[in-house]
Amino acid sequence: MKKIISVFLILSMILMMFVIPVDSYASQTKETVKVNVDGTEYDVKVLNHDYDNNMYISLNDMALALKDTKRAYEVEWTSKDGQTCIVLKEGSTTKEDDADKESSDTDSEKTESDETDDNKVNFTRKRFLINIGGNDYSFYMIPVSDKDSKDCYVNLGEFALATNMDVSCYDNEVYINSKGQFDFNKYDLLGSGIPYMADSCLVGDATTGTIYYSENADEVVAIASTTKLMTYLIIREAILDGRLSESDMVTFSEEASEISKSSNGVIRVEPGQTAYITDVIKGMLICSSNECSLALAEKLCTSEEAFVELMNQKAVSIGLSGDVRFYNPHGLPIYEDDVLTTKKQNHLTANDMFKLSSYILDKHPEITDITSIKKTKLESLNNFEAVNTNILLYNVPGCVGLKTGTTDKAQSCLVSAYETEDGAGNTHYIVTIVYGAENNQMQSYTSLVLMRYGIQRYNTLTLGLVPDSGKPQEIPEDLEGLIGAVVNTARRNAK
Amino acid sequence: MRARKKRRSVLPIIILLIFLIIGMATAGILLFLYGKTQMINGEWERKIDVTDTVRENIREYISEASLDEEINIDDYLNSIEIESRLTITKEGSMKEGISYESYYDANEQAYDALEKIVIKLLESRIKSNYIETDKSMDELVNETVGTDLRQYLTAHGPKLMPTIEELEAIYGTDATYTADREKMIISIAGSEDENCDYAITNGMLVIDRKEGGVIYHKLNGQQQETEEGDEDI
Repeated sequence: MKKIISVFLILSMILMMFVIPVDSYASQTKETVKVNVDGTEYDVKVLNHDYDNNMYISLNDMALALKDTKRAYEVEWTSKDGQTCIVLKEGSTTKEDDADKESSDTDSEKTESDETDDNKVNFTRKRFLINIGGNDYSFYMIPVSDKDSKDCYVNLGEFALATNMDVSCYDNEVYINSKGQFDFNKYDLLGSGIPYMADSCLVGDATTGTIYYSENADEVVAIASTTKLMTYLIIREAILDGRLSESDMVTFSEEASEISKSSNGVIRVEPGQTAYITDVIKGMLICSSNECSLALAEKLCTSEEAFVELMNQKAVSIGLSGDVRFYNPHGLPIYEDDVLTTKKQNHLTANDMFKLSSYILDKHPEITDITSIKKTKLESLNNFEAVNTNILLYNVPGCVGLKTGTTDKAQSCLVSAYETEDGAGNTHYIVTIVYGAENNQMQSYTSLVLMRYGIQRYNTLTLGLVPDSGKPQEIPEDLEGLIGAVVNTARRNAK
Repeated sequence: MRARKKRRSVLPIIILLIFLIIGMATAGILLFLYGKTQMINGEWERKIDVTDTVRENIREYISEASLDEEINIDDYLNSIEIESRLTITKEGSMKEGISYESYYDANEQAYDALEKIVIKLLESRIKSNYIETDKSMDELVNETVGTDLRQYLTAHGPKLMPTIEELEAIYGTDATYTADREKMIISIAGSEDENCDYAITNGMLVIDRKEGGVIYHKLNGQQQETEEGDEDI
């Protein structure tokens, strides 16, 4: 009987492996679309990932299409820190026959494509490093190779944003103005439906409190590990007022050790293990360590409950809404100890998180020294290599944080900040908040688009800059264009 | 003998009084029946408030170039009204049309408001960039686009008001009518006759049309005109 059950279980597992799709597994047929570059048409291979119009374009074919423009680039496959890195060497020209050849012998990453006779391609979408204009980006891309060539397919929208190119798409045809910059307005944003890819979202200038765009920002949502921003605030203020010191050691309790050894653990620790408070804070913010969060709370207060009380009090004192409620310092769900148990999670609204982020960036901007770190070793935590989960650090030069979050209920969340200056040397932070995105790829894509929109609005409204259309000086067609042009005139005439 | 003479002299007076009473009663009845319908003749006007439409069009135009609540449009926008003139004749015609003069005045007011708002936005943006300039906003605009701000907004800016044609389609009327003391029947070619109640009080004509009560004011307080030959009752 036991044998029968074992065989049955094994067969079920094998069956499930074929039924349950592998993460981001896809199988599509290569298609060709017309790409119009400055009036000249080219055929470019594309893959519509999972759905129509979720277009991933061939980097090699785009290089050929742009070869006679100032946006010409050459695709080079190399490696960086042990990872495959695709470099778009701007200014170089890709020749037609070069595009079909391997351009680098350095390739430590196995490609996972398998081209079949009917032109269907099986592949997975995975994060790749791509260097464009000297900046590293990390996008979910689709590598495709056969015996003679290597190519990579990148999301059209992400390509346009990263290259800052004026790209539009209509009726399955792509139009590129190689002289123009990427530019879009609130109606494009709404029309594209990007804000609706998350449960709630917001983008604004945290320094002035100005919100450029928000969707469902009053909706109460589970916030997962973005909780740790409040935890940081409490700890940081305790350090500044002397209750804690930057030279303190933190001891991990039995409970913290249990978390570290569970599926929610990030940095494995033993009960009684100690580490520098600075490393523990980095562990909490960079790699979202739940055990570090708990350890910090227990360092400051006699109990986790007392620390949570401080969090809730702080929320009130800085003017967050009555919808805010913290149950723990890390953001994991908790279950009430009762017969009829309930699952609770820290929750607030996107508006609240914007206020909290604004408060922290105003009072403690040094948080960005930690949250902008992409990767670091935590020496007193067994030299643990903390890798930042915030993808915008790679995709938006100037991004300085702040915190990701994921639980089943919260789904994929990201609070990010972009640092810039105004004309008088004052620092401004453009903050985006995305709660409830379906997965990490949608979270990062939505955050990227919102961040670029926020930066554009900041540049236009505060700095009076108008995106360069690449066209000869014309009468501005809208008010935004007029204001930008007049500000530039005033700037030229300035005393 | 004297009593017989008295009876003979009273009878004509009585007959005269009877005729006077009948005549006055007739006059009273005629006045009651037809006097009001004579008062309806003449020129009337009503005001069409387009302020909300102008406000919305301005809001939409400035939305991408301004922050929410940065500009309170009502600080710059006064009530904007257009006049519509209704002419009713005793021959039974009824014509209403938009006053072109008032339309152009209203359009000027709308662009006045928009111009002030845009100047405010320009000043705000230049100030936030810490740029000092002696030039007026209009001079800067002229230097940038080659025309003054009003010309730019008129040529490239938004349409702030409904067109005259759009207003005529809503408010214009070319009809005939018949009326008694309280009711009138308005006939427009190609449409069903419209039965309406109406009233004239304190120089106002109120007609209860199917879209609701419409109030007209007597134009310039003119007295009812009568032509030669009419009986002035």
